Amino acid sequence: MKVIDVKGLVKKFKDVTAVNGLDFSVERGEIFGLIGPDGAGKTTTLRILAGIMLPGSGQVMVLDKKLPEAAEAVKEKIGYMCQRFSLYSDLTINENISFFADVYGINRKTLEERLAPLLKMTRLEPFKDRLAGKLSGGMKQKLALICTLIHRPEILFLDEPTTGVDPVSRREFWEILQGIHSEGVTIVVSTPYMDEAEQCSRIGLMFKGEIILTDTPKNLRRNLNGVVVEVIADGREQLVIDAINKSSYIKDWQQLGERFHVILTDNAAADDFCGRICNEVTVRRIAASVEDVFVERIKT
Amino acid sequence: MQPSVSAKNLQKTFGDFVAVDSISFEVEKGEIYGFLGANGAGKTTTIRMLCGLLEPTSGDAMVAGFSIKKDPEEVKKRLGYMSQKFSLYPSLTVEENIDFYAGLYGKDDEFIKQRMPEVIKYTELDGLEKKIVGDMPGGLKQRVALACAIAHKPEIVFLDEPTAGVDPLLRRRFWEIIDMLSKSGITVFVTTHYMDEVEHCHRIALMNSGCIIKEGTIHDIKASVFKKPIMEIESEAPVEAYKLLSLKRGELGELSIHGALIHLIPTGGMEQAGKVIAETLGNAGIKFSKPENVEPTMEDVFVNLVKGSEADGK
Amino acid sequence: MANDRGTLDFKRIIPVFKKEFLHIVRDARSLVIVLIAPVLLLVLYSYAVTFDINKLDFSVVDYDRSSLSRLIAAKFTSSGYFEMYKPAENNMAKSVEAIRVNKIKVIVTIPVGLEKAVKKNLTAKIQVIGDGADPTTTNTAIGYANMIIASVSRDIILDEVKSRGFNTKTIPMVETVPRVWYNQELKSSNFIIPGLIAIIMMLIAALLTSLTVVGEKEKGTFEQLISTPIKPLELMIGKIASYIAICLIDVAEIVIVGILWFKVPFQGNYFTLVVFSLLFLFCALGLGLFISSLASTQQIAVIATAFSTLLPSILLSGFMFPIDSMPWIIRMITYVFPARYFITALRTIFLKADTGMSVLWGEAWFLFFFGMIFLLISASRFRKDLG
Repeated sequence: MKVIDVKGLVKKFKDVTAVNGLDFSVERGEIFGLIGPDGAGKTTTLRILAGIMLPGSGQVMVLDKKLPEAAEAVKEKIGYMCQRFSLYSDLTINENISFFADVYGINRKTLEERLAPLLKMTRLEPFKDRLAGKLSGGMKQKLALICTLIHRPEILFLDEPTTGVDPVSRREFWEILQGIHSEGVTIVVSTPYMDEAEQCSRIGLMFKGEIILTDTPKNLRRNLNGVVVEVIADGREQLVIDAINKSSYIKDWQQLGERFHVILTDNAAADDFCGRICNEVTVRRIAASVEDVFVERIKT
Repeated sequence: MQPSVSAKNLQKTFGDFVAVDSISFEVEKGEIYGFLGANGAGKTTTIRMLCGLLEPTSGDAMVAGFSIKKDPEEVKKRLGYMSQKFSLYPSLTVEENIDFYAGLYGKDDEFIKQRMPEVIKYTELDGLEKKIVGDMPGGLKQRVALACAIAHKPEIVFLDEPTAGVDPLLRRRFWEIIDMLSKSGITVFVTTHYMDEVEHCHRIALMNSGCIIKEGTIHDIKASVFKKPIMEIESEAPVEAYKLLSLKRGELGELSIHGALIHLIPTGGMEQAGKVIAETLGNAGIKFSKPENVEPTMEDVFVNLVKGSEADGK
Repeated sequence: MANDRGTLDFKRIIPVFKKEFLHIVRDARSLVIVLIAPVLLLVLYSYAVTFDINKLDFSVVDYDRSSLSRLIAAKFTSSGYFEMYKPAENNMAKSVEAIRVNKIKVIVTIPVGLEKAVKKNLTAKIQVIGDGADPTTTNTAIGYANMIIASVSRDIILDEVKSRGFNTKTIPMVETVPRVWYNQELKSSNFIIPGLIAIIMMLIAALLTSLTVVGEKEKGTFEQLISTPIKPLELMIGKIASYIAICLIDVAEIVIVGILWFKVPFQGNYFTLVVFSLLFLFCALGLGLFISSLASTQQIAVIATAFSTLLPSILLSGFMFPIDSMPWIIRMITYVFPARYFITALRTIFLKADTGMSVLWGEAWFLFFFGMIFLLISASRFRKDLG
């Protein structure tokens, strides 16, 4: 069942087109990732879906209601967490949560029942009375997440929740999201980190206001038109570079310190390339990453 | 040859809080040195000390041949610093920004006039010299920031999350520039949250709670952290599959879910684990692909090390 | 996007009220300023703003040098209204210079032959020169000068009459017996302090709310807030309510200082005062909120608030200049400024005994009406989207 259905969405700000003709839908229970660099239109898309920004043109349906007309009704059933920390720094964790709970009309008893597991999951329990402004970045994120979850939304919109967060906190945050997801909440999340695509059930790769590909991460990776090999040069970088320069079937390559990431046209090419250098350096085939696919698409 | 940066028992405390706990390391001239760690691990404090902005509580470091304790001003002259929020003046042009920052380092007009084309060429900003910085996309701004950081010909550049939010293609080009800087003999000290970028570094140091918990090349670190491969299971119903497999954590090993994929670090043999998986998911009628052996990612390494060090600490 | 007004839900006003109150209490430095500023302003301005003339610097240029001329000069200085500016005394050139550089406001010149003329039963003339650059003070000063000279003149007449053998008690005369009600001594502080209370509270109340909406925008909390089902009107009422609470404390403070320190008699009843304070604060806070919902940055909000409260409250409220003397078009404009109603009400409540609500219904309705307008416009201006 579709909980979000977007057709031909365009949004312009003066002379900048932030979103240029989006078509996509999200099924109930999915984690849908909007993945792309800064300026791709992720934030604009999420704001429109959360009912806090007017769509320019096109049709936007969220939970079978048309936006922007039914924005207020939609807001009751969704949770939205923006990119910037947007809670009250001079209020404590508890006060922030109670404020949002009250705004959504949740009574004390229900709040207590719902809050206990959320505090446990986010491990914020010991800090309940600390001012939000005095929390670390990761803790702020988790607090913001609780505030958007307290009314049990059907869809959760998260705008770049892991930007600037270290990998450990990022992973912890994703574990929490997976937990929420397993309770049946549909999640739409944006991120500039391509590797986070694997955490999503389906992703839309965004670039310059458009979704250039939508698929499951696995299918998307299979989508790469080519074969990826990794070369570990171990001090013989020049040899690898020479080999690459002599080959006509290399689509793209990248040097990562003493390692090389090489994309070749097909299996035969990969075999040939490996055969040429495998006596000198270590070469092995690896799976294509979402980033490989993204780069291939935006290059053409 | 004298190392470019050499820290000995560098320590910084703020009241009772030990931000950096007596760390020692050396960085060679021309090396790209990755500095990793969770937020609050002490990276920023270390960088600030190395830049001569913060006096160490104890210990010392030699940066470009000068002590950060005795000659912080000499140190500052010889390094360039660029952060994610690098303060470019949006209403000035690319050239004007570079000119301004070079001027801050006391470089005269003649030096700047000579240096400008080099810097522009290095950072691939050719043809954009007269562009207003405020009108440029994020990826280009980062390059302008880099140009400003290297305008005075520093011996070492410190890059604090230089590529956050930049698209992969521009990030690649940014790293090509960094590689070039390194080859020309400039030492590059970099922090990033993109684990794939870490692969560009010649060597990395991983910080946690103020200590360096691991240092070395990516290759050696990966090999030392994961002696066994990771198993990846793809399933049609990953969430349910993950729940079922989690019940058998004891038999299987450490599990984590990544969207449609489940990662397993098996405690016992791979075959044994494969059997348990097949049985568990088969009984529940969940379709899944044959478990594949995959290389640990840099992120796997990072998370494993940080969690491991936390577990040791407790 | 249409604002879904629907029904108001008090369940959502209370959390807003609580949250805003916490913001106020948590910010200790601002709280101190909010609580102390009104008293400071009142003390400062009530001394500065006075229409009473007291020891005004002047000079006498006495060309006559007679006993009468000296008597007149002495009468001026002993009146308490004037004080001799010694450097210019009896020197016309210096006196003229002194008036030019604002050292003195008035020169009294006594011509040669004054005493002689009086003795010959002729009318003698004394010149009083005033500084027209400051008409208010000069007018009052000339008034006092007239009074002093008139009394000297009366004494001369009476002496003359007496010397001719008449009983001075039987001379026919008309005298004014001034009786001023409600402010017997015509102390201008009794009149100014209630006005100042209104002006100070207008500024402070409007400033407080002018920062709240735009502040949420600048801090980024706005985006989270508009993603919830809260209705703009609920938000506005909650915000106003919390600031009314804090501003009532301010009103109480300055009323007490006015009564105890400045000895302004309080004749009216406290209930009426509270009702008017509430209505006025509702109105002033509403204005601040209205500005806040329009402003794009806190800076703009502060400037706009200062412009729309301070000068109009001082100039167009009847605080200093009687509204009745203004041209009709300006008079119409004064109706828009809430301070006008509060000043009228406060002066009435302070100075006139036993005035209940009955006398001030008009003012009360106007305040309520404008408060509601500000509230409703702010709520409708509060867009729950980012455009």
